[in-house]
Amino acid sequence: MMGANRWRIWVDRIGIAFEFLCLLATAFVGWASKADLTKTPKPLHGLVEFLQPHAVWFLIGLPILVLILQTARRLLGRAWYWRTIKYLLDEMRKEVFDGEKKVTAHSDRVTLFRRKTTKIGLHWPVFGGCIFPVERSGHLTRASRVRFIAKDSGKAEGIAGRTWANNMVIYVPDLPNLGRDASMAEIENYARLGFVPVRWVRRQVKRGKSLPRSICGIPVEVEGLWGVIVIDSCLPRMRKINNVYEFYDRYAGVLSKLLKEV
Amino acid sequence: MNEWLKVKAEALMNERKEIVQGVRVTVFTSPYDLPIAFRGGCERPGSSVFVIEFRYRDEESVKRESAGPNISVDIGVSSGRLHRISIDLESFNANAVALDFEEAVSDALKQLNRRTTVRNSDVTQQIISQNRADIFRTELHSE
Repeated sequence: MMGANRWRIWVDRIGIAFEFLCLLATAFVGWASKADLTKTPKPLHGLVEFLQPHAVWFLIGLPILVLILQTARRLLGRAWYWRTIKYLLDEMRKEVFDGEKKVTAHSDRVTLFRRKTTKIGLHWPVFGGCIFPVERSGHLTRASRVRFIAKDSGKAEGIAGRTWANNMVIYVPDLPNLGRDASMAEIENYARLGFVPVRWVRRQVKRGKSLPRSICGIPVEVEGLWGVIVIDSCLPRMRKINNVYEFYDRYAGVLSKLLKEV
Repeated sequence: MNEWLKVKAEALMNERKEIVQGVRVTVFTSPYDLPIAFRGGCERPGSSVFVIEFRYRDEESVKRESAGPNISVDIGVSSGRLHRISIDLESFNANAVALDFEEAVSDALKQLNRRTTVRNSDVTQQIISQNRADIFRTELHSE
């Protein structure tokens, strides 16, 4: 989904360029439909001759194309909304990890998760509800396809899912430090503390991915519970987790307004 | 009506340990359950209706409900958060207004526990009890 945001940006840019070209073309066709062939400049003579019999169709079709492009861009979500949301997540990351020395862009992140009930064919589980990342701070680990269960029944996985289900800030520090040689008991303990399936943790460990040592989930509301912001870190504790409230003081209103539009 | 007073979030985050699905975790009140500001005072100059209002991060529509004799509350439709308490002062004994009034507010809040979200109810009660002087200052102390 976060990768999809790059597509959104490109679709938005291409859409704007096409809309502009369509408007120019409409104006040109309008002029060409009434132009006197004997008086048109020679380089345009062939084009005007071609357009004149079909001008009506172009004058109907081009504005329809503009409308379709505008609708498509609106449905995909305006790219600048997502850019601004990413900026806010970057700001939040700065607030929480301000002054910390051993932080990196890929291991200390702020991720916005969205909860949806169905997304046939795109998200797992298909029915019942899941929570998945839609935007993340920084420039790394943006291709994540992680999905956590977040059902209406209260069944939920991960800190993201549990935060959504409990609708409060959940902070889990001091998670075990798992290496490639982690024992099954350590993996099970991590899975229990992080509310994630054992098989998921085992897969991450096998792949050599570093798992966070502390995680914090914060609800996000847009006329009701919309999703969750998850901060995860390689540090065993986030010393400035309280700064989240200052961030919300400043930006929660803006974030809600932006999310309402996407 | 008195001016809006900002709520200090840090004092109301209510950090506590809770067992969630058998795991002991640290939890805090959701930033959305914490009011960002509050105020107390008569609805209009000379009015006998005293109100306490809370302002939140997210706007929402409210519904008005009765919370006892001469007391009504505005509660968020989707969130269940307390937005406003209105009390008709005329129903209270003029000689002991402050005491009776504060008791009435306290009783109304206890009743509200059943209707508002628990965490928001805790927070609003905390704000009122910690800021009695600011909330009740104008009208009650001038009685």
